[in-house]
Amino acid sequence: MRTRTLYMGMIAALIVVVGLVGCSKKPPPGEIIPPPEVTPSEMPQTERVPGDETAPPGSAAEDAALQIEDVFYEFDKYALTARARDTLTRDADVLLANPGMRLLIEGHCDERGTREYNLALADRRARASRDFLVAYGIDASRLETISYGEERPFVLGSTESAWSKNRRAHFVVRQ
Amino acid sequence: MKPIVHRFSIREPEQARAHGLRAGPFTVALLFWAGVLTVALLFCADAAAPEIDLHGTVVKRTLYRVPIVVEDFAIEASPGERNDPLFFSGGERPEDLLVQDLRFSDAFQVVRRRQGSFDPAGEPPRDIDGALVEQPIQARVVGRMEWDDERLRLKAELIDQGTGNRILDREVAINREGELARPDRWAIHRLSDEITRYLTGTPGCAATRIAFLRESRSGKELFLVDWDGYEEQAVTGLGTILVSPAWHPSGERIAFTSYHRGAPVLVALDLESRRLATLSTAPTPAAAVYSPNGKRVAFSTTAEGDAELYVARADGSHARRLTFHPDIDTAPCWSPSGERLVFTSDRCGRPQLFLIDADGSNLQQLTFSGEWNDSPDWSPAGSRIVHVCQIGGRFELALIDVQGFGWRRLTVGGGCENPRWAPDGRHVVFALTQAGVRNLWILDADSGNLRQLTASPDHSYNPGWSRPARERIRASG
Repeated sequence: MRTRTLYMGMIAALIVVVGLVGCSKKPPPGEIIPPPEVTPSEMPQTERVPGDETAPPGSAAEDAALQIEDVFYEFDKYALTARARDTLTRDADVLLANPGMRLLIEGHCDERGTREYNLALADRRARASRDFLVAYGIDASRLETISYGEERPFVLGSTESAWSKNRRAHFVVRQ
Repeated sequence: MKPIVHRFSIREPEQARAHGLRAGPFTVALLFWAGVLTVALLFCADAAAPEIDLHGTVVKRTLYRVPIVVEDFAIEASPGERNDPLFFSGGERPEDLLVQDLRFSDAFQVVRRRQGSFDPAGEPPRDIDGALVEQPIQARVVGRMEWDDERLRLKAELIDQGTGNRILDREVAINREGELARPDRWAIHRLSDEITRYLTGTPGCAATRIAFLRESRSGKELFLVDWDGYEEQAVTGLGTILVSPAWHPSGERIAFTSYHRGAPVLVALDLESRRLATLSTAPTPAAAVYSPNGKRVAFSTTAEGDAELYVARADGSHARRLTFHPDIDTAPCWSPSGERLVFTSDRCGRPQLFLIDADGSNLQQLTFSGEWNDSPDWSPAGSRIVHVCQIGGRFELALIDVQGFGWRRLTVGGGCENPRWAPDGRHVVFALTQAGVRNLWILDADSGNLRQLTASPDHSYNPGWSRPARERIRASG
């Protein structure tokens, strides 16, 4: 019984120490610079992110939205691979079956290369996916594109595994 | 400085048994606590020692530096004034700042002496790093700070050691009013720049600031920092993604791409009024850069398909397309004359550097070899173009002359991004990834000296170097 209490105490201590160590990596609270003021007329409008217009859970529209899959690209490429074409074909079929569904196509890159180039590359990736869907018969007015370059990675890290997940066209479904 | 790593050895259980010890609960507890302590100390050592061993990350060269003596300044102040937090207080001394500026310029071998104690006929002196100064001392700085009613006066003389002549006699009144948080520091930066200009013929860049982006949980914000790493401040609090800040040569505005309206827009922030002006709402406007005279702005947008270069007036109006090719053209940078631009294009399959006249004529390929050449920046002082070059899978900094000659690699460690020249055409600020975090570093492209500018646990990147103060800020004295 005494032994068990000892072990329990050790586990509790481990949690506390890990917590403390985690905190010690952050800058001390006194050093946080308050965000500077921006002139009220220029305050960023809190526009709704298009993806926020989600369908009610369990609805047919949500089921359809869940079937839309992202497309992945090779390093420094925007050409669609055979796998990407298969994915886009499935996505296009979902779009054809759901005429009310619209897509925001986000282009993304991995962290390699410079930000300016990656903004341009991610833009091409989003457009390559859009062009495929348009060629498949989806009305272009249902598709919008935006490039995020390397600015919004899905996975953090500097490994090929992380990079390959970040080179994508991400589809945000709007009903 | 190498990071300190504490090593503790913990006896393995097998080893313990071999020594006839039974791992009872208290032994386990002991080992456990030793382990916890080790982990905690390892993390603490990591947090306390952000300095990274730089050995082998840059290509070093031996370069002549002007030997100079800096004497302690005479400071005349009443006890109350001495504690004024705005003007050199808390043990901070003006000559310390001057010595640091001169050292950061990489153009001087600095010797410190007490007032009037330098003996030119004596033994060869040692510099502030302890190295023997073998060449004759060229000049000596003698300074004085004194209070004159409400103002602090900085007086400094630069004396030629060969002739004994005064080659610079400077007197500045330091005002409390004005936009500068620390006018005293700024006055010393400007003195350092004048000394640099008199003794080396090239302008110094101590009285400059560097704009950059810092990533936080809420977004990427614009920050400013003085060239010596002090006076770091956040400029924006937009809570969104910002990309590619670029100074207007006046130092009054900074242009960048912002996602605060959802879709990216190109805006310019006026630093004094804090107002944002929209330069372009064309699709994916990026990589804005003002011309050297400040009248035009070059940027890329995907308005007509893929990313193409455009040149517009500084307010973004009258945009005219510069490149016509169905591949990516971006990351433009002006030549010092404003007549040409260098930019990145992947029209031959991989990113390479190209040159083009500002009217869209005379397209010319500049780099041919390597998998990736990108992020060019044209030296404001000449013909050298610093850029990022992929070598062996790593992103390094390299130089190339505008004629295509003189290619030279600057770094060997990899992880380099977005090099931007200082106004002296000698130093380069860039983002370097070390231990998974980007921070800003300043490299002397001539000697290979490297120093860290920012040391934040949050990514700091995308730097831009302002023009020197003497070109943009009114004289204060």
